[in-house]
Amino acid sequence: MRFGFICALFAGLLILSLGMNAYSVERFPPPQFEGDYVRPEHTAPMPRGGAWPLIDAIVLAAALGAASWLVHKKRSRRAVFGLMVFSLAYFGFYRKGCICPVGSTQDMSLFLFNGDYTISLLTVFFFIAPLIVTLLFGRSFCAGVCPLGAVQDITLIKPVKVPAWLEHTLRYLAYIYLGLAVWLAAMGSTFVICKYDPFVAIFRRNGNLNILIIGGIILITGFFVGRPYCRFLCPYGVILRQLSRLSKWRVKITPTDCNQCKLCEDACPYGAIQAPVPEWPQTTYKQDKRRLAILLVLLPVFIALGAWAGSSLAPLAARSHPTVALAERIWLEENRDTGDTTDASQVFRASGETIASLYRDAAAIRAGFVKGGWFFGGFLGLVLGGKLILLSLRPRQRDYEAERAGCVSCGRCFKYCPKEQECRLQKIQETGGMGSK
Amino acid sequence: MTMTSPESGKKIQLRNVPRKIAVVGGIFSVVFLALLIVNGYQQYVSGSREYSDITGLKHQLLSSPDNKDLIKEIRDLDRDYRGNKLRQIDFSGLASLMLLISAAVTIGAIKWQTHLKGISPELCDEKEESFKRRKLSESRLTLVVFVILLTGVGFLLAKQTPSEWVDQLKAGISEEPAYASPEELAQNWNRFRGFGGAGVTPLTDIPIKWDNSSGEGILWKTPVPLPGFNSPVVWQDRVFLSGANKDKREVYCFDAATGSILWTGEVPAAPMGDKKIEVTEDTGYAASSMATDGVRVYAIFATGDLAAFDFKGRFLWHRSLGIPVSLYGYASSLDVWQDRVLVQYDQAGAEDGKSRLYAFDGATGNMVWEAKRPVPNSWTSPIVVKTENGYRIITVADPWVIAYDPEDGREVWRASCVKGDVAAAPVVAGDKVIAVAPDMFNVAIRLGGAGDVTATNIAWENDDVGPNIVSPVSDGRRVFFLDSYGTLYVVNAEDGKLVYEHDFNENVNSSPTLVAGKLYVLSVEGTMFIGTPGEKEFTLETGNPLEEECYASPAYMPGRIYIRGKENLYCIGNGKP
Repeated sequence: MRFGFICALFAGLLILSLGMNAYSVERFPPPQFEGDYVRPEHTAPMPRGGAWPLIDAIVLAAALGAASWLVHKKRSRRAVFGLMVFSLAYFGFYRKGCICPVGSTQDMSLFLFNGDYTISLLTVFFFIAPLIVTLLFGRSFCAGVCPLGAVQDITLIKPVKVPAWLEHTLRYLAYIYLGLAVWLAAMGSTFVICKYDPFVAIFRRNGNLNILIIGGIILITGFFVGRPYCRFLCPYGVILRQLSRLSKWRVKITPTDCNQCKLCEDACPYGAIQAPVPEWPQTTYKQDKRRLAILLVLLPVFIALGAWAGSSLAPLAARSHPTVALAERIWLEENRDTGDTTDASQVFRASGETIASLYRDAAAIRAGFVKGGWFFGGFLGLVLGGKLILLSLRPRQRDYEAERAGCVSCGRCFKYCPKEQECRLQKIQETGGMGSK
Repeated sequence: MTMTSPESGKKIQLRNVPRKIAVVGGIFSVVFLALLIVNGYQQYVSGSREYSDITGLKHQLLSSPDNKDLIKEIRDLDRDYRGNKLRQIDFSGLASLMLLISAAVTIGAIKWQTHLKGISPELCDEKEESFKRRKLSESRLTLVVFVILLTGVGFLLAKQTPSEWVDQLKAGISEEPAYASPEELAQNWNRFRGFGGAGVTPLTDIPIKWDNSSGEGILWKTPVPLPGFNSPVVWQDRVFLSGANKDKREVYCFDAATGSILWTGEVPAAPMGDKKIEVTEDTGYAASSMATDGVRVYAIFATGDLAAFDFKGRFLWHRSLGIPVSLYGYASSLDVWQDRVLVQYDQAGAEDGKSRLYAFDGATGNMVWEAKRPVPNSWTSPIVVKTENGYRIITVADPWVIAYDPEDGREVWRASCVKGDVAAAPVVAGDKVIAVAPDMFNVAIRLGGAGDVTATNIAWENDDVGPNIVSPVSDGRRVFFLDSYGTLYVVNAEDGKLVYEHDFNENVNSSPTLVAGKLYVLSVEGTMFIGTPGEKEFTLETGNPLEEECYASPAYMPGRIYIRGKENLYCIGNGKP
């Protein structure tokens, strides 16, 4: 407990110090006079040309391949950890967290819903490649390639178990985040995933104060709760979770028969090991089946209610769009004594565009948000219904197994499985390693 | 876990190694963290202080833009500030990198120790079946409650989302262009000498009697903070004036009902370097009258700084036209056409080629067009006239009277017919435009034609009368000229012949106004002479002394006269204040 407190205090001070530095950078005024002053380098990475996109793609492909091989063939936590460190160094600190498959979800969304948006092949590759690998090998990307996952995995110091009710509830946040990110990106409003990427400030050792605070909170939480961002927020993780259910090859905890020692369950900090599920007890069978039937019938109702709620929340979401925000601001300036102007309102007024046309544009965008809100809400209703149904199912299971969707293939359970150790010892003896001494 | 040292034979506890590394890494992390905090604090505190110092100096610079020492001090401070800032940023970059490395070492060591410790299985003291059922049940319930709560919060936030602009759009928002129609302009006093610069108003309820000593008829009187010779312009319930001195330029918006200053707009100035502005005492820094298009107000100063504000006092834009080379100081008033502000910017000698007529977009301040003018510095103001062939901007400056098309600034016609330091603004009299060659003669040019119309369109010249700075006024049949000494000359507009004269016996600088057939003449001493210009003689009806020197031309609105004295703005009205 004392150790945890020290860690939290340390992280808090870290955020404070980085925040103060970041704040100072943000309020740095632009030069007023001509001279030999050279502006400091921009904190966001600039796009790279030449062969670099190809190199990035090759590194991603190689890392995905390596992660799959290490998890499924080599079954080495240590090697996966090594790959994680490499990915953190390359995709995180060297590439400064951009481009990443998580953020590319928004590019794809904007590209699909907005014909004017041009997307690079590299972005498409970064979005698609981890999905294909997941369909084949499970969440290899999460295991050792994603820098966001890596930074959380590496800084996990004293894992605590999250109660199941909290785990299932918080996971819903990731679906909301995914829906919101796709919705806002499709409307050309904002790239919310990138805007609130919690670790990008650490990778760049600089950034917006809000992001630093969010990142700090998640980092502190991550000292004790395994991969909180991946489990409860990551929108790309939601897609990978669903594809992982369909993966051709899945992570096996034990290479032979499970002796049900439960060590793997204790070793997994992500709550992704499913305990054996016995036969459905006759005493509760009817009651459980009835519940399941009711939930199945209610699924369309959940979707409809969600869609209605989503459309009702559209005006709120529309405020994230700069045109809508500007319309609100101009209305305030015109009808209330705000006493000042913003940069955006000044530029608008200097543009000569009429207020009526601004309001019309904003209203059209808001109407688009209402349409998108139906899909957003409907999706969340479907997820809620689906989760309730899943929580009412009793799939039969005899051994301890990695949950198909939730397992991030980190390889911790391999190390703690006595059967795995047995196999390794046997292999060593067969090859004459230790036995010869 | 132990291992034996081959040299000393001592046993080393491997289990303690990661702990020691973690402690060392932790100490380094704390040190670097402390450095980062101190650096951040310094950036915040010293940066704020230096920044506010620079801001303070910049404000000082606005008041004295020529102060070279101040400019140097700002530059030095700015350079130091930036230098410190960059050093601190570099330091924080290095410290955060070191912190990252030491934190990584610490975390790595802690993980190593955890690895060495391993894990031990936990025993579940609950029966599996009931435990699992309870877990599922709790999860379902919590999820549903969570979603309901989240939706509720969403609805609350959505309810508070401002939607007034949508309501306004649904109710119907004006699609009219963002400028007043000619009819609206005519109902207001939107520029020097009112609509079209004619100095004529059809209003019949204008006061004819007031008394400054008793206060009768004076609704309010408000001191104007900075001096200026410009005339008030009025839009509905707002009166606009500008004032300036060597250091400051300001625009004032007065409440027409109470005379209180609703807002003051400061007009910035571009750095002037070594250039000096020279103005005479008679001209000052704010001789040019403002203009409004019903949406925005525009002001220009002797420094060549043109600025726009909206009616709420929000600064919209500023353009520096460069310091004008003007013998007495720049004094031409602004005019508007549609959403464009027109600036007659005559300066230096004709051979210098510096004179221009500009049209700026009122909303943005972007230049719509500019016309090069073959004239030297002048002090007249342009007027916009509606002719059979469309709108024309009429300008006067030695030696040309030139008409431009306000659409594109194209020169339509020109006539060589004036001389000297032209100051009086032109005025339309029937189908002619009247121009004044100061202290020499007056000339009438028939509107229309193309190219050089000197030989064809000069209707008449009259050298019997010699006004100089006072602009004439016309009722269509006659033209009323005033010289600075207070002599009124009534001239036949058709042939230019002098009909009669009348002497007010007081000096006059402001231009006269025709109010429903009566002539209003404001003397420098502050007396407003009101009388009827008959066919053969002028009948003076009254003289209302204001007991304050007056140089600007009054503005006339229903039931009101706004008079700028040397120090105060007066509102004369029917009834008691």
